[in-house]
Amino acid sequence: MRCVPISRRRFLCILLGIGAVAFVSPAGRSLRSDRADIGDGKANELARLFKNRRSAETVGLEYLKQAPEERDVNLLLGRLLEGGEARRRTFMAAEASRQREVLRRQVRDDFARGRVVKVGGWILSLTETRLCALAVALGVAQSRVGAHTG
Amino acid sequence: MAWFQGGKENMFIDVRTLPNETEIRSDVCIVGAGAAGITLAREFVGGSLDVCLLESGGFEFDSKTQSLYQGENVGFPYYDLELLRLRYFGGTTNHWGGSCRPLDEIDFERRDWVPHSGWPFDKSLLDPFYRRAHKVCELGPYDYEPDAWETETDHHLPLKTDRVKTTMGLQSPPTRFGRVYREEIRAAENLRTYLYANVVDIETRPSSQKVSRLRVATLEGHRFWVSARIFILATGAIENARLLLSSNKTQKEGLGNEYDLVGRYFMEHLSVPGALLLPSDPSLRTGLYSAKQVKGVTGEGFLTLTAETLRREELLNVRALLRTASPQELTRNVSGWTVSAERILKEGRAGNLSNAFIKDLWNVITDIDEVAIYSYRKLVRPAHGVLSLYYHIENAPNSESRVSLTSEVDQLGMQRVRLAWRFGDLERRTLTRTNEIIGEELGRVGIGRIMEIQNYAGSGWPVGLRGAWHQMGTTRMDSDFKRGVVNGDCRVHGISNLYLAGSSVFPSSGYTEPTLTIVALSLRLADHVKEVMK
Repeated sequence: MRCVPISRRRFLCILLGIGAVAFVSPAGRSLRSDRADIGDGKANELARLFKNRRSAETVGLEYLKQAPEERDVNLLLGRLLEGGEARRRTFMAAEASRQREVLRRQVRDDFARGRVVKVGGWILSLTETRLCALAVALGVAQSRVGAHTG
Repeated sequence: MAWFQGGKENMFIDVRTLPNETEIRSDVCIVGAGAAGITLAREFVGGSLDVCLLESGGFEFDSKTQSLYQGENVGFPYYDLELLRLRYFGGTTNHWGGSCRPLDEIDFERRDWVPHSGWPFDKSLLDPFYRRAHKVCELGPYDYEPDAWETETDHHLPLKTDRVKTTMGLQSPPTRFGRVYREEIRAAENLRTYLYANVVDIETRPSSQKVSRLRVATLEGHRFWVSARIFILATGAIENARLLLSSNKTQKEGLGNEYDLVGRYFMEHLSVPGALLLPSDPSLRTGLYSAKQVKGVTGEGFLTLTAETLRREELLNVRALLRTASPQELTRNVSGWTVSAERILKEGRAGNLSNAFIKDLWNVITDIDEVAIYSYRKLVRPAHGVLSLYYHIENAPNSESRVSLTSEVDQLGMQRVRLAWRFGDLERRTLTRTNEIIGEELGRVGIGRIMEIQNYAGSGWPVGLRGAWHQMGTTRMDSDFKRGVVNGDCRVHGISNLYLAGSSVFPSSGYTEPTLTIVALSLRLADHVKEVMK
């Protein structure tokens, strides 16, 4: 496995800032794999939630090498928030602080259940790496939206 | 032929001053004055048995005697055999580090996933001797529970798991056996120590079932005999095997070697930097995991896998020491990579990340760690500690890991040794899986993240893997004479009056330093010999 260099500080900021990540979506908005939905500008909001977007993308890119099929926003969201569409809707409608707590617990739970992945030698939770992969997918989606509207 | 039974006033005897072909007679003859030999000798002091202790060297290091330890390494890269051990009164305790801990209970078990594992007895039989060994090694109370070592500021990591736990090791001063016990041995009326006495052959009766006498030589060419009722070899794992293999006049394959076991199953501890730990909390306290004194005794904590985990995962025993990552671990190869890192940082800060950034990243792609950590330390000064997880991994018994003889002879005419240290997939899997388990458990409670050290050498093992200066297993213990060289009493199978002491009899190695177990076994052997001699 090739290792992608990444600043430790940046990396740690990402990991510690996972709790600060919140996914915000207008209540009731569909999350079906519809690039038009993402291109409504929500991609920018989601992207800004990462403390260090570029570092997250670096980790995300490395992860996606192992799991290229997850380079899809909706697929990633589905795997991040397992439990079906209803759970996803509930999560997306929740307050940011609640979303953070859910994600934090999920990260801890990943380690408890052995749901880990090695990224550049790091032993990370699937949740945190998928969050980073989401940054990549959002960035791609955003750039495409920009191309459409630019 | 003159025979000599010593006088009361001089219990340390330089054999070079004795007439040639002197025969020394005693009830018990102990060969080797290291941790095992001195422990044994002390147990006979003041008793009714007449005991002689043979030591190859004198009271100080001398290079000519030391050169008798020269040999070849043909397996995994290992230390120079001449420098590994010390050949003078006190033996290798003269450079012993002092770390002590008993073997774990599981180390005594026959484990299905570890071929050739299992002792002829369980740990409970050795526990009373471990307690006595504590005094010999100048340790404090026999208490290895972490709770006893916690202070107001130093606690064990808040792991909430049945997979990983904090375990303690204790620190002897370290006891230099040759210095600490010299006067006691000198003053013992029933004990004579012969210095500069090298055993070069073990003579047996034609049936090979009993040792009749030892052939002893000096570097100056003097020759002697030592006869006794009981003989105990306590010369260390490599030398015990060498002596048996060399004594081949009646058994051409060597004494006790009818089933080609002598010299085989050599074990060491794999000492390897396995991972880096970045704590989530910069103020994480790891004081319990550094050597520190509590109530006058030095102890040090480390992480181990529970016995249940070892069984479930089918792993070897292992421990992880927490250390501040060394500069070498952090910045092993600075030059070009560091330049790239600086450029990355500069451009990143100025918001000028460009194609050059990508290019720089790829330049360092083969060794993310040093550059990234260098960057990290620069960015977050004062940096909180990046820690290393430094492992001691049990070495599975392996018949191809062995001590054998070469055709080259030393100054005494004895064949030198060849060491082939070997290990393989089970050790590798233990390292990998232990990293994963510890990483999971630390992540689970938010302590931090670990990164497997991934700088591998051509051997397929991490750079920095080495032995721990522990040699074990070359005359292993087993009740079955087809599976062991000695029985559960450390007596050589088939030879009624020859015993082996020290780490050569270990059937398995655990992860812990062998000295405390060496002393415990020696105490037990002494009790046994006294019983036999009644």
